Amino acid sequence: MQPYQNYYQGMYQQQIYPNYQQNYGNTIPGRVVNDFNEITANEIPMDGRVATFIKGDMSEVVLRKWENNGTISNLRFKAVLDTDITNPQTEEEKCLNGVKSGVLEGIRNDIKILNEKIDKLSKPTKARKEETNES
Amino acid sequence: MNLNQNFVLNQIMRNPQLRNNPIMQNAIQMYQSGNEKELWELCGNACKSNGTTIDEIRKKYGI
Repeated sequence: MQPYQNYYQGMYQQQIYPNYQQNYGNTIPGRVVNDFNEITANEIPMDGRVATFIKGDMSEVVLRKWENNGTISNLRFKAVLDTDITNPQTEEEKCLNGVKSGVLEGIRNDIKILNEKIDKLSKPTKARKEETNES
Repeated sequence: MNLNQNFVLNQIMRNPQLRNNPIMQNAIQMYQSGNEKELWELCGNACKSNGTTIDEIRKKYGI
């Protein structure tokens, strides 16, 4: 056993791996793809980093990462078209703005009509009869 | 752990690319704790993710 051990040690001790610090800066692994099926496993780094793949038409983005159990996790993002990029609004804001511009006026008119009807109904029946006779 | 296995482990630990690989770290931990079932599962998963099987790898490298 001992001679073998010495043989291996002697043979491979010379093999020096550079003790480098892994510094990837701000680079993101990944690329633009036409179809997500063309992504191969070796395009995903096995050092824990997440690879980003963007579809050519910019409609979808996929993040892929090697998990500790040997599987590859897949996280897909779908695009939402926002026409006004200078002032992106949430759905709630758009709804509120719609109410502000016109719809609110319509609601006010409806309330006014309802108030008039309630007033008529709330008058005593005698006064109402006189009112109808007069007219 | 026999000599060959010890040798392979040493080589892995000396290579920073393999040493810093979370999957390899997990595999070594499983191996050292004798968790053979999970280790096989990991190997199977890794092979499947690469579009191959353990049997194909065995045939390819004559293991």
